Amino acid sequence: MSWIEVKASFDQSPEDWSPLIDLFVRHGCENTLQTDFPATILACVVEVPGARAEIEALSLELRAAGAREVLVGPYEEQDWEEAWKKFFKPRRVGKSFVVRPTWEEFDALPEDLVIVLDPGQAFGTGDHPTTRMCLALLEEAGIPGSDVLDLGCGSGILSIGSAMLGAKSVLAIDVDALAVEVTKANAALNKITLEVAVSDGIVEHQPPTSSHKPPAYDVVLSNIISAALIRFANDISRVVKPGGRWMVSGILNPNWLDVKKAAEKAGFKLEKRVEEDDWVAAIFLR
Amino acid sequence: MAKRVTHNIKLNIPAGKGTPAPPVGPALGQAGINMMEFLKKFNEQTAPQMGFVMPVEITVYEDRSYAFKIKQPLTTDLIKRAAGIETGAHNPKTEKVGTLSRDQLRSIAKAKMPDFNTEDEEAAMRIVAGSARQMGVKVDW
Repeated sequence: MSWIEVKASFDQSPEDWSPLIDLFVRHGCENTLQTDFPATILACVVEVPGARAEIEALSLELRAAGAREVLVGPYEEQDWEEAWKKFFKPRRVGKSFVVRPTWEEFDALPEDLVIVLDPGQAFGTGDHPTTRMCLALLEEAGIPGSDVLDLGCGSGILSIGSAMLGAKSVLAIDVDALAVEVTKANAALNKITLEVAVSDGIVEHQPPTSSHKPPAYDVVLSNIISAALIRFANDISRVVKPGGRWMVSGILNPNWLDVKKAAEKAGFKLEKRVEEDDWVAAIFLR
Repeated sequence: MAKRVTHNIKLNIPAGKGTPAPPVGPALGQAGINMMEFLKKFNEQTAPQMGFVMPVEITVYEDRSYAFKIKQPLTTDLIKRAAGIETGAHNPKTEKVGTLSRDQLRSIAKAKMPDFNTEDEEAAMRIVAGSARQMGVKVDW
């Protein structure tokens, strides 16, 4: 993917950057980076048909808003992904998992379950408390022999972990098409078979090994955000078999009670709760 | 001893929908931050403000630890909501797309005061009025 950078410079920082940021947003640039000394604001646009015209219009408006200079040029892909990879090391998670980035070596013990991962631009490195707690909890979620749904699969780490723990089937879904691609690639790296799909809900999906109508999953995993957990609680309750489990993570402590309330209202009972660094993960029983 | 600050990053990211697309990913990556960890936290904290673009300021220390502060939504987003408009004027000098009352102006100014670095309500109101004019919204003083 090639990117075009648009950078506007000003003689001094405005009292309020908002109108300038708003100009960028209006032309499709929702992410901007600004500096006060020197006063600059920049955004990156994917080089697609029509992008140049949009940038031209944006440049004119920036100049009208007082920009001293607007520079448009190819975005220099500095080695940013690599810079960050340096810090992602193999690590033990829970009792049996080891998460190893593709570019690192690790001397695993015979009983270790080693998940090889290239997270790319998807969530879930095993480095983050929410993923780490979730992976550790996975060992207590009754995965062996289960039909598992991973709602918001990100890098695919939890789906792959479930398959390694002996799940009967795993369906991994995410709203982000990129995440779905990353999950597929990571499953292949680990020689794991997963069903993977792009979806913003759970309704239309059936586990491949199940011929009956919902409730169809023994375990649903969701390491997403609280708002989504609350929104999905009822839907998830409908697809989890009685006695099955819903494992949740990605919850900041202040939001925990709202998630718990939504889960209980949807018919779940709290089985276990863990906390690390202000993040909460939990297992609910249906 | 206080930790040395190595980077101070100011980004504007849509609430609840942060991704590592440039310039966000590179700015964080170059500072040595685990960008996905930051974005996850950002998305979780800003989910209630979905629809707004949120300014966020990230302070990175020499040991790669970091702290971040999510600011109030863009003044222009608050103005749009108050004036009931979807977008600012294309040519704010000649085109007027909405009006703000003095009370609306005051309440936006109050919300944004911590971001403007002022404790003077009148000064904050003048800044908001200036931003409103820049987007073609008339202010009733």
